[in-house]
Amino acid sequence: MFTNLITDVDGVLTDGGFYYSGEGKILKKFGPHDNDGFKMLVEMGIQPVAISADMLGYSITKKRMEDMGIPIHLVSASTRYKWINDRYDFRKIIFVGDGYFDIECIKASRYGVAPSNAPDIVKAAADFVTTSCGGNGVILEIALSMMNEN
Amino acid sequence: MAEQEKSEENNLSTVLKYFDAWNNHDLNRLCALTSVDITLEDWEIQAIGRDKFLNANEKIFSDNDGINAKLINSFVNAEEVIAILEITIPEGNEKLAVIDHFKFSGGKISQIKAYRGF
Repeated sequence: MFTNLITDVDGVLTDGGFYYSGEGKILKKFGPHDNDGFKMLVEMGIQPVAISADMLGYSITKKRMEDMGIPIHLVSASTRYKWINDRYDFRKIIFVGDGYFDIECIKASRYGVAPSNAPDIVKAAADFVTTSCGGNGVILEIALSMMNEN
Repeated sequence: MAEQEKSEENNLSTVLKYFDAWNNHDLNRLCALTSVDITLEDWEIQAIGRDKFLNANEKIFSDNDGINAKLINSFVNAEEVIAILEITIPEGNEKLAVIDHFKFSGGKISQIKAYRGF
């Protein structure tokens, strides 16, 4: 039914915050549960893909995604709808995002998901709003809900 | 529910009128569509109150002859509208991906926050 789960990174897999020093962006906080969620999705035949528009923090994001074995792509927020549409079939994907620029993808995808920390209008566009907030098990919650439905 | 749908329909219609007025650089119509205490915020501008909102738009129009906003998509929820835009600035042949987040109060636009695509 679903081929892929495509997720934004900042605000979904992280709490959306950055740790800065005089050197610039140095740390992001990823939650402990999403790796389990990704593994469960793969077992269900759903391939996860991560996208991020954060150029400055991309090396941090890339390291975390590589550690989890999840493909990551740098895609600007304003072009992500076209980027996905050129590569995937929106009718077969789950999309997870928390920002205004994610609304188009949430609406277009077969199953659009927003975390609880997303703005109200983003949550209103989603098929499913997680009780978890970004960086605190959003992907695990999606995987568990998919498992319960099957 | 029907009342909310009607309100959402009106809000979306107001946003369409707003962009028609904006593209015609019509400050009088922008004035009529907005509340006295409207706030406008983007990556350069912060204007609080209708007078400052109108002044800010007047400056945008005078600095960018022929500036135009093309509405690509829109989403409405209760008293909020998201407008996905392509802003064209003829001078320099520049195109910007922008999202405008509108909030409404008493049937008028009370807040616009604009986010530039990156």
